[in-house]
Amino acid sequence: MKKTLIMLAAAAMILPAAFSCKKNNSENQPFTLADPVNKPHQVKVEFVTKASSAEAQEIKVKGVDGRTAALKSLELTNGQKAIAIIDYANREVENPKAVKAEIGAKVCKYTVKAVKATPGTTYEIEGLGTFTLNQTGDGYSITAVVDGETVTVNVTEVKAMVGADSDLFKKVAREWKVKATTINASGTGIPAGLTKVFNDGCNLESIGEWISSKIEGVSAEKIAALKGYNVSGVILTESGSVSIEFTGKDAFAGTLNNLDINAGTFGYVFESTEGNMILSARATGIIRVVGNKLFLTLVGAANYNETNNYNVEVIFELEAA
Amino acid sequence: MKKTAIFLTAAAVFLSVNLHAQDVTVAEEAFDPTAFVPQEDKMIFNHLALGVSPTDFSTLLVPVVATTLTPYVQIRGGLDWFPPLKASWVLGRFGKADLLNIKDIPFGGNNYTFNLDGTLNASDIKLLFDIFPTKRTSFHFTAGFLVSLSGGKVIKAFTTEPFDKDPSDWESLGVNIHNAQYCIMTDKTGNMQMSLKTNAVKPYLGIGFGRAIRPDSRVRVTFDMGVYYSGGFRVAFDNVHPRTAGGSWDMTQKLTYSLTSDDLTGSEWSDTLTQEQLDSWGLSQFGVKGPIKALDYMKRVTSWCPYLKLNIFIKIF
Repeated sequence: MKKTLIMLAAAAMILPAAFSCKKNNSENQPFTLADPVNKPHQVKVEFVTKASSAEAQEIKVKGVDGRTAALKSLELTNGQKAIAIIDYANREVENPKAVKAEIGAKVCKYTVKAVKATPGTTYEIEGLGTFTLNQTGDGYSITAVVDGETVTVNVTEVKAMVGADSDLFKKVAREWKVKATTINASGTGIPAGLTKVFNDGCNLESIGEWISSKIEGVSAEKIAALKGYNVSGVILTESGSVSIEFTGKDAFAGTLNNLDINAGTFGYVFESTEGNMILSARATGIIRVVGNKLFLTLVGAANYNETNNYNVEVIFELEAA
Repeated sequence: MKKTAIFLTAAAVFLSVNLHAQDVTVAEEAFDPTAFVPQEDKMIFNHLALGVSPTDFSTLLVPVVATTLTPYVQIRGGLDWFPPLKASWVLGRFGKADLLNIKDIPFGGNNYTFNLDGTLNASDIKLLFDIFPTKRTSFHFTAGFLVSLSGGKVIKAFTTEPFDKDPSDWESLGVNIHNAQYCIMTDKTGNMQMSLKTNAVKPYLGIGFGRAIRPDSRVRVTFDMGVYYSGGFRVAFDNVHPRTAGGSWDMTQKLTYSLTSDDLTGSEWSDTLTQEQLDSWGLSQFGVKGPIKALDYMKRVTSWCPYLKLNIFIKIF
C-alpha cells in the first residue's frame, strides 16, 4: 500500500516533458476533386493576323473597355467560358514590329456545349458574336459574325492540350474562385517583411487602399486605377492558359512556361494590357497544388513612390468554383 | 445405585472429552531459529519523507517529498517556487537607440512604440535522484530534471496597444521572419504576444550533502549545489504561422518561434550592441565586450544556471 502510494505520487509529479505541434496534413493529401460536370474537350484556336499575312482578314472584337482590335486567339473552356485574347497593338504603322505588343483578354460565356470542336458547330459567345468552325483542305477556319459583319479567318493552330500525359494538369483545368489573398510586402522603409491576409476574395482597390495607409508615397491616382479590379475567378485550361477574370476590367492572361508535375507546380508568364501597383502587366506566376487547393503566386516589383522601392507578392488561395 | 451409575458414566464421558482436548492444547510449538533475526530493508519505496524548502526571493516554504529506491539511491521531488511578478516596460529599437528608452520606431511613415505588460513565472517542479557512494555517507551526486510550470515561458509579455490601430488588420496583419518562412501575426486584439523563454524541461547535475531519509533518524537536512541546463534565454513570439507549400500562411498552425540574431541581421532591427552602449549600461564592468549580438549572447551566457537549495525532511515511515 505504501509503495503504491509512493509510485502514484511519483507518476503524478512527472509532467509531459515535450510539447509537440500536430502538423496539419492537408499539404500531403492528393488532389481528389472530381471533374466538372460534362467536361468537354477544351480547344484553343489561334488566328492568322495581318502582321503575318497581308491577305488575311481579322476578326475585330471589342474589349471590356470598349476598344476594338483584332482577335488573336479564342479558347473554349470546359466551364462554358471562352477566353478571347485581343491584340491591341496598333498595326496601322510603318513598322509594326516596333510596336509594343499589348494584349487584352476577355472572358465570355458561350452557350453551345460540345464534346469537341466539330466542324460545323456554331458557338454563340456572349459579348463577342457567333463563331463557326470550318474545315478547310488541310486545316481549319473560323467564320465569325460580330456586330452584324461576317468574316472568315484561317486558323493557324488548333491546340488540344498541353501536358496530355499529366492527369493532375487535366484535373486542375477548371474554374477557380479566390478564397483568400495574401500580400507580402518588403523593401526600403519596411523594417521587416509585412504580411496582410484578406479573407474575402481579392478586391485590388481595397488592397491598394490598405497599402497606401501603411506605406508612404502611394499616389491617389494609383489607387484610383485599381477601381474595378475585383477578381471574380481564375481559369486554367488544358491548353496551358491561365486567366484572372475581373468584374469590370480586361482579364489578365498568361501562358504556361514550366510544368513540374512531380512538385505540383506550374509556372506562367503573364502579358496583359495594363498593369497596376499590385499586379504587374508582365508578372510571372507560379501555381502550386496543395491538396484540393491551388495557390497562385504573382511576383512583380513596383515603385510606389520616388524614394522607396517595394516588392509586392500576391498569393491567391484558390478553391474550386 | 442407579444415580451412581449415571454419575460414573457422565464423569467418564466428561473426562474423556477433556483429556482429548488437553492432548490438543498441550501440543509443542516448533522452534524457528530465524524468528529473532531482523529482515534486511530492501529500501524500494519502503520509506517516505515530507519536507519543506525555502523559496527564492521570498519567505514562503514549499513542499518537497523523498523516498528511497536502494541503499545508494533516493528520489526527491517538489516545487521550486518563484513568486510571480508583473511588470511593464517599453521596448525600443536595437542598435540605433537605447534598448529601454522610449523611442519611436519608424514603420512605413507611421511611428510605433512598443509598450509591454509582462508576468514573470519562473517556478518549476523537480525530480531528482541522489546517488550515494556508500550506504552510510551523506555526500551524494544528484541528477534529475526541472520542469517549468509555464512551459518554459519565464516572462510572458504582450503589447498593450495594438500593433496596428485598424481593427480590420487584427489577426490578419503580421510581420515575416526567418527568410519569410514564418509570420508573427497580430492577435484578435491587434497585439503581439512574446515571451522570454527557456527549455521547458531542464536537466540538472550537482552534488549535495545529507540524506533525505535515514531509517534511524526522524528529521533530516539536505543541501544541493549544482547547475541545470536551460537552453538559454531567448525572445520568442507566439501566434506564429508557418508558410505553406502554396506560399500563403498556415493559419491552422500556431507556433512559438524563438528569435535569433540571424533573423535580425540585415534589417533595421539589428541587435548588435556597441561597446559604447555596453559602457553606458554598465555591462563592461562584467567583462562584456562589444560589439556583441544581444540575442545570441544572452542565450549563450544563460544556458547553464546555478542551483542552490536547502531542504528539511521529516520521515513519515
